[in-house]
Order: sequence, then structure tokens, then C-alpha cells
Amino acid sequence: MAHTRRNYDTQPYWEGCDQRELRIARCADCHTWIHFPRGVCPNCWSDDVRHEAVAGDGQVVTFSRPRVPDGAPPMVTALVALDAADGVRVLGRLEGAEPDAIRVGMPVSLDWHEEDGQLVPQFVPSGGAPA
Amino acid sequence: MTRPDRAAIIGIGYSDISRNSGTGPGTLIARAARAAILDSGVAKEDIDGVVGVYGSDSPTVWPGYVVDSLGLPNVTWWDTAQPPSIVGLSSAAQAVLAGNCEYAVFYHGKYRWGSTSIASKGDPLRESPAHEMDPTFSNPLVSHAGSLNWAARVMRHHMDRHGSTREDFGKIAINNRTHALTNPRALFRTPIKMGDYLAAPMIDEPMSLLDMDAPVDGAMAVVVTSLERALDGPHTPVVIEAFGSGLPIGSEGNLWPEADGLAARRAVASLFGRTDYSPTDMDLAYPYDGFTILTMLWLEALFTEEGGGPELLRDAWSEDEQVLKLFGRMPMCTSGGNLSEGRATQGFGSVLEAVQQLRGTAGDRQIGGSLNTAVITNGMAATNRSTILSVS
Repeated sequence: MAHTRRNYDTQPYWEGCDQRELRIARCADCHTWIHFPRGVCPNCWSDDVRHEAVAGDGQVVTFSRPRVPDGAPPMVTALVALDAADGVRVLGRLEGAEPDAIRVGMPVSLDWHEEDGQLVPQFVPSGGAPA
Repeated sequence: MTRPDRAAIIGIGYSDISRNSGTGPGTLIARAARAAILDSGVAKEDIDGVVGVYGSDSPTVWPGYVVDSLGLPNVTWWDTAQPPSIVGLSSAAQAVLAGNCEYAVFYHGKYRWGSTSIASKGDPLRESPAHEMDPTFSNPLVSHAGSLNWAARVMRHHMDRHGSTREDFGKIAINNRTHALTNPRALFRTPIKMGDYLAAPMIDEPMSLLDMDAPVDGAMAVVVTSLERALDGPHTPVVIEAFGSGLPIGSEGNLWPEADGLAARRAVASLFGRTDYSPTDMDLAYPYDGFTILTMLWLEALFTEEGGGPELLRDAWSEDEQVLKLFGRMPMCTSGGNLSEGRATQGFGSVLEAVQQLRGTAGDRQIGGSLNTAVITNGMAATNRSTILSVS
């Protein structure tokens, strides 16, 4: 919790995470999705920005495998384009995938993990992890 | 090219000003900028410059934050300035006078951070960000993902989309190291070959240790004056022909791996558009090399279509000399770049090197023949500034 700096613009996003719900900012006037969350619509300049819960299915746009300490499990950081929110991409860990089987474009689904007491989004391969 | 001799203020704007806005600091800046642009009557498509106060206890927001927040599609100039606020106004005015942009929006904000007053301390939503490390307030939204090395994922994206290989990126690393062997400023002066490159440890696969610069301590400086005064000096004057940059919507590399290439193309177009040169007229090329993927993208912006970098590199590679000669003639990164000099230079070593080469005082590494022009591209999507230097 201490490391999750929230501010007035990002608080609705974090409140969603607290309830395992991915809430993305959206313009109430022109319906443009806005991520990262911000208080002005970049398309029509409306101030009426609200957060909507979205399904977390999507596709891998790109990914990398950062070096981890000896003995630690491999880590994959993936950028995921959400199917349900046009133009929205979420950066998160990709868990449960065979590292060599990860491909750009592969379908993934939303999952959650806890870090420093804060629930944060991560992704898993759609349809379950390969054997 | 005619340049204006006076600058003027044509629009003003401000957010609500309150003790407790219940609003994030970036949103207040976006609202003020929006109001100023609306007051000016200038279409958002015509705003091509964004300048902001950055530092002290101001919300230290990158101009890219404002570009994203207001969806400004055609920004080619940005700047930041320390307080007091009129320093930023002068930067915006000077950018207009110099011809670097036509319509600049300048912003300045203040925010009641949790550390600003006893009364604000109790509000967890007012905790200040680590300013210099989080100029878009977005790090907390992605830091749990593991790696914030966006460039590794830009590299993967390029490999997937354009079929670039590790050997292609290796040619960049080897070229720079070969040139560094005779550069006394360079920290890394051990020769490397392709086998060494391919065997380097992965830092963030597909990015290896030899694809990135290393943190160092150091500083560099130059003196600038008018050409008229420069003619009285002891050296051949090296003329700054132009500056150029590009600041696209979506410059957050963690979300938009396309942004670096897009920014580079816009920067090169704006840079050369301010001169009578084209990129192939250059005698020397210094594409930024903080990461090899950025070099690839700058080379494509300068010389090829999107995705044409690997073929350009394969054609330019000299196996005998272990260097790249673009189009068979144009040397690249003749001092070894950031990859050899380290990150403290952030590309500025290329400016010093180009000056030495154009003066003809580069010593052991002086490139032969007549050298009149050098292009130096610098940075990545959210923060880039490029220049052309010349001698006559």
C-alpha cells in the first residue's frame, strides 16, 4: 500500500483494483476510453470523465523477460490491448505461460495478484495455462 | 526562411484555483491549457509547441502529459523551464521567434502536496510523486508489472513486426564499439565482435547488456554565440543549422511501443524541413544510441521506410572494418556514442564529436575527406531534440 501512490485522478482505478475489477476512465460525452486515467477527455475536451468496469480479455502487444535474481521464477512483463476498450493497453505480468510459447498477438485474460498489500492486475493465457 | 521579430500572447486560461480541488495536479494543468487554447481561438491541430514549468515543488509534468491529455496531434516543439514561471514564458516566446513552432501553449501549475503544509499531510491522495522519475504520474500504475524498461518491449515489437534480428542490433553495438577504440572519452574500449554481442547476458530479453548504455558520472558543455561573433574566435565556427523534435500523442513507451518510431519520423521531418538539406546529404550521422532499438528507429526515420532499418544496416556493414558505412560512405557514431561513453552524456557526446570532426580536430579518429555536415538525433518519444551542424 505504501508504494502505491494514488492521487485524485487515479483513485477510481485503484478502488476498482481493490475489488478485483478493472475500471478504465471513459468520456461520458464522446465515449473515448482514457488510459492512463486523466481528468479531461483528449478527444472532445469534456470534463465528464467516469470509470467503467471492463472485461480483461485481450491480446499481447509486446513483452519482455527481465532478469531476475538467481533462483527466482522467470518473470514476463506484457503489454496487453484490451478487447473491450478500444485503444486501451494495460502493462502487467503474464503468469502461467511457458516462456518460449509466448507470442505477440496471443490471447490472454485478466487475473489479479497482490503486491505490497495492493491487488494489481496481471494476465494469464486465455483458456488456462499450457501443460 | 523568414522569422518573426516579436512574440505575442493571444490566449489565457486557468483551472479552478482552490485550497482543495479534489483533482489531480495533471488535470488542473490540462484544464488551464485547454482554457488558454480555447481563448486563443487556435484549433488544437494548430498547436505545435508545448512548454511547461518543471521542477521545484511545481507538479513536474512532462509536456507529453499535456499532449496526451488534450490530444494535441501535431506537436513538434516542447520545452521545460525551472520556476519562476516567466522563464517558461520566455522559452515559449523564444521558440516562436526562432521558428521552432508557431503556436506554443505554456503551462505552470502548483499543487498542495502532502509535504507542502501540515493541513495537507493527512490526505493520502496528495502524496507527491518522485518527481524526476515520474513526470506523468503513471509509474504506480505499471510498476507492479516487473520491468519498466520500455525499450526492451519496443525492440520485441520491432523484431515481431519487421523481422529484425539480434544480429541487426549487434551491428549497431559493434560499430559503436569499434569507433570508441580511439576515443579517450569512451569508458568501453575493448573490441567486440558478433560472437561477443550474441553471448552478452540478457538484461530484459530480447535486450542484452550490449544493447544499452551504462550509468556513469560525467558532464559536458559547449559555448554558443552568433555566427557573426563566432567568426572572430580561434576555431572554425560550427553552425547550428536547425533543431527539430516530435512529440506524438501516446509518448508513454510503456503503453505505446510505436511511439518512438513515430516521434523520430516527425522529428526528422521537422528538422530537415527547416533546412535545404535532406538526410542523405549528411557527411556524418549520429543516431541516438541509449538503446540499440532507438538507433534502429532513428536510422529508419532518417533514411528508410518503417521497418527498412535491418536492410540498411546489412547493406552498410563492413565485415573487414567492423563498422557501418551508410550507403557505403557515411560513418555513424564516430565516437562510439552513449554505448561507449555512458549514459551521463545522453547523446551530448555526439555533439562534441561532431564539432571535433567538422573542425578537423578529431585526432586518431578523424574521418578523412571533406566533412561539412552532421546530423545528431537525440532521445526517444517523449523527450527528443535533434540538430544539424555544419561548417562552410
